[in-house]
Amino acid sequence: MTLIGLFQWFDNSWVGMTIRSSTYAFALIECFHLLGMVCLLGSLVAIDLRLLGFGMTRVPVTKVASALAPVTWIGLTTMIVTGTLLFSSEAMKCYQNEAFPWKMIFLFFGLLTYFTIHRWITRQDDSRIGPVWGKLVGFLSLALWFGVALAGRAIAFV
Amino acid sequence: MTLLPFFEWIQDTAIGTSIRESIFVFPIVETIHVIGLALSVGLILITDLRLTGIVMAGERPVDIIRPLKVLMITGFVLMFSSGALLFWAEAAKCYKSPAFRFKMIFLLLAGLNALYFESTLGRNTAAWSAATVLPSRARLAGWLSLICWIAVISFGRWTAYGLK
Repeated sequence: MTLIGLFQWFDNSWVGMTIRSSTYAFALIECFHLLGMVCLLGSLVAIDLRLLGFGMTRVPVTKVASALAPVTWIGLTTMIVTGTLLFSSEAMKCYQNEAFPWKMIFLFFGLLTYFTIHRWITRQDDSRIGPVWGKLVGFLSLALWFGVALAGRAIAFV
Repeated sequence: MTLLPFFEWIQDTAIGTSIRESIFVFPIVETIHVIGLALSVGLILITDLRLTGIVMAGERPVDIIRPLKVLMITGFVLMFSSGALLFWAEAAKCYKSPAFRFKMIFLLLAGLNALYFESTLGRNTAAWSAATVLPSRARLAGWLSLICWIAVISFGRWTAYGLK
């Protein structure tokens, strides 16, 4: 299947067509997409700030990360489910949109970072996290996830 | 006496018109509004989750809530000032939007809740911050804040769609 074929499949899907034809569905799903973003970015900002040496410095990194992991997961799951629904309803619009591929690139690297180096470093004891590594991962994570948000917002404008 | 003429006047001022009609300004301000929202409400969420005892219940509340405050307020200032500019550009439209009125009501309630919390329990953290289980008033403030902000975001999103 070609890339355009995939986008067309989503666009022609029953879910996509149902959302498109409804007056309120898109706005309602967007509400949940935004609430998911608050969970995802809120928890990641708190964790990444801690990696950068700010915020909850009296609590060990491992504790901050493990306590907030469910919040990150709720946010991530909500965003991916609602995001897929929103995408289905305007897949062909996204195909032609200049911001959409950027959002996907940021999302890919955001997820890659989260499940590899971010996961690894937030499971280390504070004393074992090098001063540069923690800051680097925290910065990278913040940059990528805010990149997703910025590019996502731009989809509606470009 | 209705406020509509006043809101129409705001919208038709030179600044209101230029924000609304600019290709770049409106999207940029909207983007700042969303980034501010992610920062402020994101960190308010963490604060509220601690107040209610849902996350990090074993940690001292002061160690969680206080260090997040500066960035939370920074995010709030970004969100509030960009929101004011968006309102400036679309004041009359907002006036006619029922969703916008609900948004303002819940924003006010969230503000009053935070103000009440800060002026009573918030000031006296030494008295309760070492405890694992917070006083019921603190937990209630956390729940009220969560509900208010979910409503503000939802009605805010709804306002944008009603306006189109």
